[in-house]
Amino acid sequence: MQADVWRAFQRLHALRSAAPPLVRGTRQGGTRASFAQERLWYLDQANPGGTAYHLPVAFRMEGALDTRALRLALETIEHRHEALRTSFDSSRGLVVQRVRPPGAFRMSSVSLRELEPSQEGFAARLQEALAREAWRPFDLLRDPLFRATLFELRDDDHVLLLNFHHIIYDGWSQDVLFREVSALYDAFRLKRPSPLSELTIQCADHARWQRSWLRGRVLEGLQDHWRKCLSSRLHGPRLRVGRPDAATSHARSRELGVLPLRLPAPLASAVLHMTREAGVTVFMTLLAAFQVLLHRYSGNQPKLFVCSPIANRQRSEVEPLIGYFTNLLVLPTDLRGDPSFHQVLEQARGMVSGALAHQDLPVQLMDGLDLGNEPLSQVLFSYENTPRHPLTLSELRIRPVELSGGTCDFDLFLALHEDGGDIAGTLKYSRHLLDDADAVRLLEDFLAVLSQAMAAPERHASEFLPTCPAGIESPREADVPSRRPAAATADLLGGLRAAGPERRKALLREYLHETLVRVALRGQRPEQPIHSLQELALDSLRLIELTGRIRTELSIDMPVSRFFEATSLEVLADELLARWLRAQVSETRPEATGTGREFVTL
Amino acid sequence: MNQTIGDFTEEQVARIIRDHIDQEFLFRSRDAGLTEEDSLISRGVIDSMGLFRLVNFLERRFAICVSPPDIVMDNFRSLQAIRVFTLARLRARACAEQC
Repeated sequence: MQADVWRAFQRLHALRSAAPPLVRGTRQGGTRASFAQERLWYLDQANPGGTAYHLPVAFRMEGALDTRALRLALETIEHRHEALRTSFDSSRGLVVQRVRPPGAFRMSSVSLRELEPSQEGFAARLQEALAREAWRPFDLLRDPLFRATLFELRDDDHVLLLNFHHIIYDGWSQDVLFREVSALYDAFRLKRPSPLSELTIQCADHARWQRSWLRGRVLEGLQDHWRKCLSSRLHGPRLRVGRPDAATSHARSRELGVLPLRLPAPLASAVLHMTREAGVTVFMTLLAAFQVLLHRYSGNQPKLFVCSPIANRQRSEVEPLIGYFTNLLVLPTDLRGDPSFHQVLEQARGMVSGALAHQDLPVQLMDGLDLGNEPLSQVLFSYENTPRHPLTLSELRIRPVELSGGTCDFDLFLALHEDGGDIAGTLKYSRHLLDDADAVRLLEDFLAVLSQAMAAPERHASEFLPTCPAGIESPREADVPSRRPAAATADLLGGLRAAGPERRKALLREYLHETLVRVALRGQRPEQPIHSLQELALDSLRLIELTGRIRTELSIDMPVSRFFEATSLEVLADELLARWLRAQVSETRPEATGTGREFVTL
Repeated sequence: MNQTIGDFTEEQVARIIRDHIDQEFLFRSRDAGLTEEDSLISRGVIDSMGLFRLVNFLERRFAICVSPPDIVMDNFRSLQAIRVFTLARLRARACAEQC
């Protein structure tokens, strides 16, 4: 790896070394949610009962299952990890996590003994039973966000379904879970005590620590970096395959498609070779190829960005925890002037090194991030090379069961990992955008770009995929200005002061509607007037931006949760008006112009 | 090579590091034939995220302090390099405790 990559690691280590100690604190009265949890909480508020953040896994377990040992193992896990006993609420405008005492967890049992595995239709009926449980909505306020169901097929044949809401669980957690369930089951089967050592801290401690660390100069330093990186308006790739109109849509639910992928061994070797030669990391090499693919698939869109979820487990104390820690890195690329693959890779090296060094800034604190009105999670990319621990239970044959159904909040997500010297992974995609044949073609094209790039890195971006159906250049549509002009806000405030009661209501309703059109619909007029925030299924940054903007532009102090509790825009406008009037009576406030921060930190 | 430094013998240090890499980075890998001198980085064994897991592990397991200038290729290029670096840090600590 080249010197700048190492310098990035040094900078990151220096930053983390200077952080305050991460210690256990009180749980009384609840703890503020972490930044990551807050982001997901917003998404859930906007689309209650949505299934895009369910993370179910299912396993067929053949052999003599010790049900008692399994139940005890899961109960112990629930006892150990506070995240699995946490629910979320909003209090005085802040999102808080509340930890319940242990003991409420129950592994449910469902008998499917009437199904005969050899009979026709067995697989479909099993899938149906699993899907019903896997996509049963979670209520973040009231429900346990971890569920386990054991489906009994026969005495020696079971299917275990574990289901989590993402707000308490992530990819890393899965590794922790499998390791612990495997170890506990084996111990409990033999009537031995738990071999696991006590956890010293929990997610709530990390959330508190994160907020005490990310302030002042540390926060400013991180924000400075991202402000420079993301100084121009970002554009997600506008893919011209499938149904482009559906891309990045705000549809409430988008059906998820998943395709597996494995790089042929010679190609994986070539990737490692190129990585070594160029002094980069495998992540950077694969990302550069993916960026070229997106460039070609978007009709040579010159600037685009992808987001990369990263583990965000900065400290060794949080490594053994189940919880949701993931942060998103925003990785823009500039392909103006038709650079060679090698140049794209160089650019990826610089961008990713900087992003790695500054990865601890939660995405909603990226001051100045200007996405116009595009959602953040359009196209995602990840590459992991840490091992994945399989679930292994003594004397049982365990196979993962694929679950049908499910939704997603992105257009495309290429998730790769190192697997026994190979590079493998999945392409997840919104079926709203691509049909399965489009997705297969896209994967084939990714492999083609990658092998062409490894063979001839001097090749220019436009020379990849010469027959690419989307590779016809066309001018971009004009960008919709994302910020409300300062003058318009001043007019509104002036208007509100001058108007009578009825007119004020009308002005505020109009303002709310316009702001929603601007933030949520990229300036496109809806066919029907918007009635409520909930119907828009907004992504988290839009929501944080929206609520922050309204509060800033109107100088109104209103708890965030009130925005979602209002059942219609009408009700919301009334409440905003009441609060605005109260503020007018009590003092003459300086006018907020809304031209400062793009969104408000909550 | 079996001098005791602090709480560990050199052999223990070598084994602990090797086991950790095997468990955390080479898991299920066909690449069982990793030698002491093989470059972990150019073989893609340790990537950016992996490096921090490894640093966290060394700090915790051996109670040593890895400072930012230590994070250079020379200290992490191979199993041998990591061992030499860890031993140097352990020696420095043992010496500081005695003085």
